Parts: sequence; C-alpha cells; structure tokens
Amino acid sequence: MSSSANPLREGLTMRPQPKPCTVVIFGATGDLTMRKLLPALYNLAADGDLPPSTAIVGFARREKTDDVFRQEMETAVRKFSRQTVRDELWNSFVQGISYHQSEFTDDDGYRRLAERLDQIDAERGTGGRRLFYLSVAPAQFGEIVERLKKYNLHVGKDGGWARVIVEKPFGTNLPTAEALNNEIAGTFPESAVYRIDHFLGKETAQNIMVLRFANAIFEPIWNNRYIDHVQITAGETLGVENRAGYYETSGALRDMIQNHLIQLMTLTAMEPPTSLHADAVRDEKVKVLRALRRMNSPAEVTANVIRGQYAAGAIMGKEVPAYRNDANVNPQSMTETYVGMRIFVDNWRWAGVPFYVRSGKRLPKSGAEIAVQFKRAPSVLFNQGGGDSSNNLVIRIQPDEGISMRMQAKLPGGALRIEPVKMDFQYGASFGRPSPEAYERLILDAMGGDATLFARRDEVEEAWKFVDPILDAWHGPAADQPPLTFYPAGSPGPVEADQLLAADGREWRRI
Amino acid sequence: MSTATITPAFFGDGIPAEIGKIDKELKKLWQEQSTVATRASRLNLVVYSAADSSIRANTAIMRELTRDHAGRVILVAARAKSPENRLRAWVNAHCHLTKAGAKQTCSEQIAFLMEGTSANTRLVSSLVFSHLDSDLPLYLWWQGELPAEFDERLLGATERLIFDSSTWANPKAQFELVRAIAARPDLDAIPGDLNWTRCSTLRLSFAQFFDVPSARAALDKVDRLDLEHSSQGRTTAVLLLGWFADALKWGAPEPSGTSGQEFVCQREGGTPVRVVLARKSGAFISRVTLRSSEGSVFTLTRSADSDLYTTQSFVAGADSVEQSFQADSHEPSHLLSEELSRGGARRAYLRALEKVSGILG
Repeated sequence: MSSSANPLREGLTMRPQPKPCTVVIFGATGDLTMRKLLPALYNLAADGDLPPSTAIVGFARREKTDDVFRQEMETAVRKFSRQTVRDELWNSFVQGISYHQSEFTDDDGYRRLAERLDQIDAERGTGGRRLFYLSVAPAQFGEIVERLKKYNLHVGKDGGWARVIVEKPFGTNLPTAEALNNEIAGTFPESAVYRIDHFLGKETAQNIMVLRFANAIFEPIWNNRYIDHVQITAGETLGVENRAGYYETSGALRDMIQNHLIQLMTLTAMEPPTSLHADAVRDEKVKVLRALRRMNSPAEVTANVIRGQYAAGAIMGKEVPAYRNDANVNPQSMTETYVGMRIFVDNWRWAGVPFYVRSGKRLPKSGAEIAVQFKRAPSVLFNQGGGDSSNNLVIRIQPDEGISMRMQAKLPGGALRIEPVKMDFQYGASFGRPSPEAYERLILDAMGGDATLFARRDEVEEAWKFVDPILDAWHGPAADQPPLTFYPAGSPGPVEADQLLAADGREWRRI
Repeated sequence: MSTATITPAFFGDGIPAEIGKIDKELKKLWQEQSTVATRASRLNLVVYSAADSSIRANTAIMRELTRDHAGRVILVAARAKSPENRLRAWVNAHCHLTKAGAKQTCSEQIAFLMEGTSANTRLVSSLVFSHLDSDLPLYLWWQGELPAEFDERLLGATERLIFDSSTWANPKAQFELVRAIAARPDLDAIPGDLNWTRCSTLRLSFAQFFDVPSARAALDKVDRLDLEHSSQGRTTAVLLLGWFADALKWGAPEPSGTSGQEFVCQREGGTPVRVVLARKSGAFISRVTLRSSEGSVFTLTRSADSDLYTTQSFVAGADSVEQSFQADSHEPSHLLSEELSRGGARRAYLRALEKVSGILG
C-alpha cells in the first residue's frame, strides 16, 4: 500500500466519479453561475456523484466575504436547483465554497489565488487538480488565461492537472474564433480546453450515437440510398427577453445554428468512430464539418438560407410585439431571429441528401428535434394512392426526450386502408428517473477528463468556415444582400422558408 | 403519481385471472382504461416469496419501483401450509404520470399464488416462462432463503439474481450457494445482494475520507476497525469487514476470543488489525470507526431515525472535519431500484465475500 491512490475507491461504484478538484469560477456573481453552475454542482453533490472534498472558489470583482457569497449561492441554489435543497447536505456542501475577490486584470489577485489553491489542496485533498470555469465575456478570456499562466496555475500541481472550461460564443466569426483559440492555446494545451455546448450534455443528444451504433438495424439504412432528407429544428416561443444586447450582435445563426444545431448535425451525419475516445469521436465530427458544402456567393446564400425576423403576432392567446419593438432592440434592426437553411454534406454517405436546419424565436412551440425522413416505398401494391407513405425517425432532444418512428399499418376492417402509426420511446416512460441537467453531466465530464461532449478547436473553426460566407453575404453590399423576411410571432416561420422546401418537393415538419 | 387519473381497476390486489387466460385478462385491463396510457417495459422482474401476505407487500413495493423501472412484473407467492391445493392468479398494472407531463405509463403485473402441493419451487419456471415479456432481460428477486437446488432453466435465463442476505437464517450455507452460482461459467446470473446495496453510499462516504493525502497516509497504519450493527445488520457488517479487508489488502479475518464478534486481520507486513463488531439497536449499520496507530480516527455514524450519514475525521496534526451525506435507504423499493440501476459483475462484492467466507457462520 505504498501507492498514494485511495484503495477504498477501487471498484466502489459503476458511476465514474472523478477525483476531487478545485473548481474556480470566473464571473462567479453572474447569472450563469447562479442559475446553472452552482445548482449543477449541488445536485451532483446531493446525488453522490461529486467527490465530497471538491472545493469551489468563486472569482469575481465585487467586494464580498465568503459568508455573503455562500448566502447568495444558497439563495440561488434553492431557487434554481432541480431538487429540493436539504439543510444538512447544503451545510456539508457549502464548506467547500469560498469567494476570491479580484479584478480579472489584477496580478496580485492571481498570486493570492495560487496561494489559496495550494491551501485548499492541503486541507481538502484536491491534489493539485484545478478546473477553471470562464463564465465571462470572451473578451476577458485572454486576460484571465494569460495571468493563470503567469502564476503557474495553468498546470496541475503535485501530479494534478489544470483544465479550462469556456462558454460560448466561441468568437463571432472565424478570425475572432481563431484569435480566441490562440489566446487560450497560449496557456492551455488543446487537451485541457473544454468548450461547453450544453446541447451536447442533453441525454438525447448523447443517445444519437447509441441509437446509431448500438443498434444494428439503423446503420445499414443510414445513408442516401434510404434517407430522403433530414430536418433539424430548434424553436422557442420566447423572444429575446432580456438578452437583446447580446442578441442584437449575435442573431439566430451565431446563437443557435453555428454551434448547437451544427453539433447535432455532425452527430447525425458522422461515420462510426473507431472508439469512444474523445478525439476519435471528434475526428469524425470534424470530417462532417469539412464536407459541408460551402456557399460561396450571395446568390448561393439566397438560394439556400432564409433569414427572418418576427413581427408582431400572438402566442398562446397573448399578443406579443415585433422584435424591433422589444426593449433594447434597434427599431431598424436587421438581426435575424429565424434561420431556415438547406445544407449538403458532400461525402459518399450523404450525397444528394439535404439537411434542412431551422431555428427561430417566437415560434408556436418550444422544442428541439432531429427528424430523419426515409424514402418512400415503391409505388406498387400499397402506395399507389398518393399521400405520404414514408417512414420517419424522430429524435426529440427537448422537451419530452425520446425517439419515435412512423410506419404504415392497415386500418382494421375489410377495406384496404393504410394509415400511419407511431412507435414511441419516451425517456420519461421507460426510465422514470429524471435525467441530470446538461451542465451536471458536462462539469462532471470535465472533472473526469472526458472531452467527448465538448467542442474541439478545429470543430469550432470548421463550423465558422461554413457559417462565415453566410454572414458575409448578409453584411455585404446592400445590393447583393439576401433579403430579411418577416414572420408573425406565433407562426412557424417565414413563408419563404416553406418555399425553400417546397421547391424541393418537401415541407417542414409541423412544429 | 396522480391517483385521480388512474382507473380503479388498476389498484388493489388486481383482477382475478384464470390461469391460461392471463394475456386475455391483461388485454381487457387495457381496454377498460378510461384514460390514455402507455405500456412501458424494459425488463422482466420476477419476485418469488414464501412469506405470508407477500403479494400485497410486494405489490406495494412494485408500485413504487415501477416509477423508475418500467417492466413486466411477475409475483410468485408460495403458501405450502395452505390446506388448499390450488394455483390462482391476478393481473394488475402500476400506472404513473411521466415527469414530462400528463402522460401515464403503466407496467403490467401478474401475481400467482401457489398453495398446498402446488407451492413447489420447481413449478415457478413454468409460470414464469409462460408470461415473460419477450426479448427483455429477466431479473429474479428471490426473497428469503435461496433453494439448495435452483430450477436450472430459470437460473439459466436469469441475468441478475437478487436477494437480501440480511434475511438469511443460515448465511454461511447461503453465501456458499451464491459463490457457487457466481463461479459457474455457464450462467450469466450476476448476484445482486440488497444487503450490499444497502451500504453502497456508506462505502462511498467512508472512502472519501482518504482522498486527502494526510488521511490516506493513515490508512497504512490502521490498527482497529469497529462496526456497530443492528441485530438484522450483522451480515451487512461482515460484508463491510470483507470490503475493508479486500481493499486494504488485509488477510482474512480470524476469530479472536469466543464472542464471535471480535476478529483479527493481518495487514501487509504482519501488523494486526483488531476488528470489533458490536450489536446496537438502530440502523443496520449505525457506526463505523477506523483508527490508526498514530492517533487518526475516522468515524461514520447514522442515528436510528436519520436518513443522513455524518462523517468525522481526526487526522493527527490536522483540524477535525465533519460532513453529512444522504444515507442509504432501507426501503425495499429504493434498494431494489438502486440495485436495478447498477451494472457490473459485482467483483468487489464477490471479493469481499471471499475474504469473510471463514467467519460467515
């Protein structure tokens, strides 16, 4: 027993529990910390998935004591946690929370942080393992990581490790993404960088690979011989709410398509990876991104991408204003709140199969799904009367996570009448336990060193290479600009988006 | 679960069903449903019991369990002392609202009562195999003592053999049966001892002490282990001793004295570790204390009416640390749910069992 490993942990649980570490949250007084990060950490602790000696250090500019910070976090966790907070468990959990006041650009703050982390290692057994969570604006990434390096916090201590989690947006285009990545790469190796995309932490997104590669029946038909097209949708009934400042500079393409929906698309379209190792999976995703057909002119963008903005309308019986009339939105704003687009993956498997991707605000329903539409059976025997006789497989990402398959069945009775029926698998029905929140899974993965569900640098940059020409067209010379279309709030999107699919003889699934 | 959305037929002991027409009765049950419900199933769970009133008790457990684990439940109750020689059956369903909304999902339950000469364990498989949900794994929860001779067909089809060693009158012989079953290469039945599940969080909570380097160093100098257990928790304590001995590479415990509660294990290098088991009223395991020769003490306690563990450590030269954790549940439905949620071949359990095989009597 000369090893320093804890022998009592061996074989203890099938759930992979990472080694204890210190989580340092930059921007600890921000909304994300209170709504998502601390509740996620508490839930992990309450479920026994977080090593109890894990320490949390909130790093932010405002002056406050440990006790005040802990009280604020308690209020937030009690409000936003998915499970009821128990006093006894909170009292244990809170012992590991402390606050570190410093400007992000104050060298002395980092020197003191280094001392504090050493002290925590000695007291709590966090073993020189540090997870830095940058819950700050991208403009601050550089100044933070640079100082982490200056005070030698970018490497683990005493055999530990140092990792950094960064939140989207990962740039606003390819040059800014490259600049951000370069700043981070100047301090942390790529293997220590975890770019979080919370869509990938959702149970159903993780299940895409299981569905495809753990079931022998799907992969043989997962190609252009059998699949007619794929639709990927993420819609929400909400408008921009209090995010107008961010959204005005972002828009739906940057906010949803470039990251979340293209990530879902890569999982749907990728080849089987050679292993479940993070890089094996991400290599395959990158190959899909490289195969996306680029739109090289405003005319190609106009032909394949519809951008829309919601006008006044009504949702669930309530009238809502137009985007341009929302608080803090420019009354002449050209920001898109809807994008519907046709994407081709130019490889052997997907040649000729369009991926229709759309995302919008103020749509009639909120939800995200991937719908794989199979080709029709030959029009002999049963399918001569027209109608949609094709099969589809729908993977529901949120809400009501599950998978359903539509097929044809004979209506009982003497007449030969065929009707579509649906086979439905719901997570909530077959697995009663609620799925952990995406942030819980992702933080735990980062602590455990599993980057599979995080975006790698080349993934992010390849996605920008695909998206940038679209942005260039939208922001190019006015004469060439593809038009901004308008749709009433509460409608499924602009009619032009419907026409995009109608021109291909297809239609959007009803949201 | 909202009872208001569930039809009365789906409650109580179930609807009597004629043997041989059970599928028909199940179908009728669905047709009588006045609300929309989805049948959900991802496993077959067969529960065998020879205890009185087991159908009612197990129905209550299944009602809770099926919230988390939808499946086809087959309850088999044997009442050998009944003056009647007969076989009766009931069908039932456990319906719950899904977390996502108002949709109900239902798990089917079939209950058999074997009485008199019909209460023969050899007949169990004939009932089970006629009513399994095809293509789904079979988990068998055998309540009470395991039979010396299992029905081979039933055992061969079982993917998890669940039992609770805390209920056994003769643990030594029973554990030998478990080890024999686990050692058979022709069987896939993984042993699932609810008595081991009962202390899974306890082991995790205790292990966390030693993530801290100073505490980890004390593990190499342990010279005493105390385990306080209830009268029902003796095998739980013995299994925990096996876990410590295996993980810390101690030799097998040897009895010390005549009380049957004191043992000595040899650490690597030959230093003895004194082990004392003590019976106390309260939780299955109410206190675990590990002491080292240089004065470090690690204690986990659970009071009788608490659902929390409290851990406290005194490491020489460091401050005392106290923490609380959600304790293992002793509710049968929770234990079973936890057991069904776990995968793996139970190697740590089998190694612990082997370590204490000499003192199980």
